[in-house]
Amino acid sequence: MISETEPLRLGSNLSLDQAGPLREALLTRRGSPLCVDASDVERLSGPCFQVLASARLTWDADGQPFAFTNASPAFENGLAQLGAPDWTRPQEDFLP
Amino acid sequence: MPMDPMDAIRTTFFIECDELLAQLEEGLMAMEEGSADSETINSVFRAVHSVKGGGGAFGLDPLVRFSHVFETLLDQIRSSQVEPTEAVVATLLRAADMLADHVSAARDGGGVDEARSEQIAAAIMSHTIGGSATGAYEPEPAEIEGIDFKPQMISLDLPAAEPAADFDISALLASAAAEPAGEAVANDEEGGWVVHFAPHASLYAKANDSALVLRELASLGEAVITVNDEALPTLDEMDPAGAYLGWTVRLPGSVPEDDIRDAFAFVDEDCDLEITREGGAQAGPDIAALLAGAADPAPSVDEPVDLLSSLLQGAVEAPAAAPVAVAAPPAPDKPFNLMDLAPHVDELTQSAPSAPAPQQAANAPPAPPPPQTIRVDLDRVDRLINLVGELVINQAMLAQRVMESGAGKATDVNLALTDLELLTRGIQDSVMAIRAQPVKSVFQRMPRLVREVGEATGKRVKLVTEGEGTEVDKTVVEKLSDPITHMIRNAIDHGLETPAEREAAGKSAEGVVRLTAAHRSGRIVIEVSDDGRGVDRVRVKAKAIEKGLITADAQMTDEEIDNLIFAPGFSTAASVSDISGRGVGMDVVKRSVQALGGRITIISTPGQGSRFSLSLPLTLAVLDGMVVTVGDQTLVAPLTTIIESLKPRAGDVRPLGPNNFVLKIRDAFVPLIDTGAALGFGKSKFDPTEGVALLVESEVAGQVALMVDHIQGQRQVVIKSLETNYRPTDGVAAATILGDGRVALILDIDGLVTAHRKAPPRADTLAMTG
Repeated sequence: MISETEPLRLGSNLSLDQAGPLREALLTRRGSPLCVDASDVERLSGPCFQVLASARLTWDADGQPFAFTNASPAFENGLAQLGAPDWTRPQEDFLP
Repeated sequence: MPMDPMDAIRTTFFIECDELLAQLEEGLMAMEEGSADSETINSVFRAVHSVKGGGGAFGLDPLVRFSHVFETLLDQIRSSQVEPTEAVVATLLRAADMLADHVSAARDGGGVDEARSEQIAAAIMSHTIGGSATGAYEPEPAEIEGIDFKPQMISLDLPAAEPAADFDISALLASAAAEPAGEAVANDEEGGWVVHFAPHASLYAKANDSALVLRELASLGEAVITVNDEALPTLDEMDPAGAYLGWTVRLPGSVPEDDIRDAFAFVDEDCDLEITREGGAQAGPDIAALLAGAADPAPSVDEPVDLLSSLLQGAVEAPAAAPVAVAAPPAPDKPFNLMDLAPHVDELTQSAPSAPAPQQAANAPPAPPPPQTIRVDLDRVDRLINLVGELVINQAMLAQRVMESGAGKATDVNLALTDLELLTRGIQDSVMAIRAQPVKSVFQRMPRLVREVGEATGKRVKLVTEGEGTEVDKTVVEKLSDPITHMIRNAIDHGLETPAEREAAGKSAEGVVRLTAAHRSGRIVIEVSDDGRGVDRVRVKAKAIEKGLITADAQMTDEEIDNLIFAPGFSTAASVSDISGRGVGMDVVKRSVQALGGRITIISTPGQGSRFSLSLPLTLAVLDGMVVTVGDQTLVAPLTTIIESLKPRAGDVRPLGPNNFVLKIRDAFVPLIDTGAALGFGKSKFDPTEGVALLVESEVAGQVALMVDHIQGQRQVVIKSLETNYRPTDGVAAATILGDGRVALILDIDGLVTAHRKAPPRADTLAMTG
C-alpha cells in the first residue's frame, strides 16, 4: 500500500535550481510506490513542476502508485496555476 | 572556475542596472531641460520598468516596490495624464537617486535609508493620479516596446547541488496580485483570448520562470490554464534544465491584449507564444514567436529552424489572418506593422542572401544597424595590455640586439624592424583604445552630487557638462571621480553665493557650475568652473599668513595667492564643512592628482567665478619619460615633471649647511639633489659640473634640481608596478624594462625629495669644485 511507504518530503522552496536535486531524489525511489509529502511547500517553480509531472508519468509507466499527500495551500495554488489542479485530488486506486 | 550561473545573471543584472540608471538620469536631465518628448519619457519609463522587472526576478522587494511607485507616475506622464512640470521632474530626479541607492543596496547587501525612500515614494505619489493605490506591486498594463534587461547566459545548465540563495522568485509571486485560480471558471465568452505558451530551456536558464508568467496571466482575469505534457519524457530521460511543457491559457475577451503581452515582457524571446482570439483570429503577429519558429509546438531550443522562411511566411500571412467578417471580434489593438519586422528581415536576409524577400519588406527603409558590442572581463583586457607591453619591450630588445650586431640601418633586417615597430605601436594604440572609456561614467554621477550639495547649502545650482564623450584609459577614469567630486563640492560650497547674494550682485539666483573635459596635448584636461564670487584673495592671503604658510611681507601674484588653497593644511572655512571639507583640503586633491602624473591649478576672477583645471595623462599604462644614467643604473624621470635640463657651471653650485647644496638657476636658488645618493647607489664623489641637472617640479619642495650623469633620451616606456612585483620603494614610482632587458626604475620625484630630506647625503661623499 502506498500509505505504508516512507513519503518523500518536498522542500519548502521548489525554486528553479531545485529541479535537478528533486529529480535525483525522485529517481532513487523509482520502482516502488511513492507518496510525496507536499506539506512544507511554499513555492513551486515551473522546472520543479515539470520534474513532478515527469515523475507522475514515470510511475504511471512503471505501473506503480504515485500520490501527493498533505499538500500545502501554496502547493495547491502553484499546481492550479500551472494547469494541474487535480494532481492532489484523492485517487481511488492509490488510497489505502 | 566558472561563475555560478545565478551569480553570473545577477552580475549581468547589476551591470545592466548601471546602464539603465545612467539612461534614466540622462532622460530626466533632458526633461529638466524641457525636452519632454515621448521618446525621452519612454526611455525613462523603460529604464525604471526594466530595473523593476529584473529586481522582481531576484526578489529584491524594496527595489521592486519603490520602482513600481516610480514607474506608475512615469506611466501617467507617458500617457499625458500628468504634466511633467518642474516640480514633478525634480521629484523624479530625487526618485532616480533613491532608485540608484536601492540598486546599490541590493548589489552590495547594505540597507537603504528607509525613511528617505518612504518620503520620496510619498512625494511621487503626491503627483500620481490615484496616488495611494500604488503602494503594492501589481502587474500593470505597461506598453513597453522591448525588453531592456536581457541577462546573457552561455551555459544552459543550472547548478543542481548549489541552491542560489539570492534567487527568490517567490517574492514576486507573493507580491503579484493573488487571484485564486485553483478552480478557475471556464471562460466560454465568445471572443475570449487563447494564449499558447511554450517556454524554451533558455527561459529557465535566464532565471525566468513559467510559473511566474502563468501567475501573471491568472491575475488578469478568470483564467483557465491547461498544461500540455505531450513532449514530456520520463524522469530518467529528462534534463531538469530542459523545457518540455507548454500551456494554454484562456482569458476573458475583455482583458486588453497589451496586458497579456506584458506578462511575457521578459520572456518573449525565450518561448513560443501565440495569442489568438477564440475563433481563430490571431492577434498582432508575434515576432518572437515567428523568430523562434512557432510552427513547431515542441519546446525545443536546439532544433534548427528556418528562421527566414518562418518570418517571411508570417509577414505575408499575418495580414490575411486578421478578422474580416462583420461578426468577427474586434480587431486587435496592435496592427501588424511591417516596420517592426524590417530590422529582422534585414538581419536575416544577410545570412540567406538568396532567399526572395517580399516586396513589402524590400520597400521598408533600411534601419540603421545597432552598434555591435561585447562585454569582456576587464582582467582579459588587462592581460592583453600587459602582453602588448611585453611585445613593445621585446621589440625594443630585438632592435637593440640588431643594432649591437652591427647591421647597417639600411639593411633588410632593420627595415623590417621599422615595420615591426610601427605595427607594434599600432597594436598598442588599438589595445589601449579597448580600455579607453568616455568620462561620461564619471560625469553622470555629478548631477546628483550637485543636487545634494545645492540642497544642503541652500544654493540653486545648474550643472552644465561638456565633452562627456572624451575618452581616457579606464585606469584614469576611475581616478577622476574623487578630484572632480571635490572640485564640484568646493565650487558650490565656497565658490557660489547664496541666491540672495547673487541677486544683490546682479546675477541670476541660480549659479552655474560647468564641468568640461577635452583632450589637450596628449592629456585629458578636466575643468570645473563656477560663476560665483571667485577667490577672496585678501582672506586667502591673511589665512596663509596666519597658518604660517607665507610670510606677512610675501610678494605674490594673484595666481600664486589663488593657488595657496592647494597648500597643505589650508582651509578658509571657519569650520571644516562636511560639504566640501570632509576633513581633507584641496592639498590632498592636489597630491592625489600629482601622484597620477597630473596637475591641478585654479584661475579666479573676483566677482565672476573660479576655474579649476585638472590635467592628467591619458593612461597609467605607459609613460613618456626622460631616460637618464646615474652611476651604472638607467633611470626614467616622468617627462611631465621636468621643466628643463642644464649642465651646471661650477660657480652656480653653492653649499647650504653641512650637507645640502643649492643650484643657482637664473636668479633663483633651488635645492640640488644627488639622485644616486638619494637612492643609495651614487658614486662616491659628487661632481655637479660633470653631470646634468634636471629641473623638476615637486609638490613637497617646489622646484628641485636632480643631478644625473647623462641623458640618454626621451622614450615612451611601459609601466610595471614595483609594488606588485617587488615592494614599495621610496623615491621609485614603478619600473620598466628596457630594450637590453634591464629593469629601469621610474622616479617618483616627490618620494625622492622626501627621501633626500629625511636622510641627507653625508658631506664627505661630496667633492665640491670651484
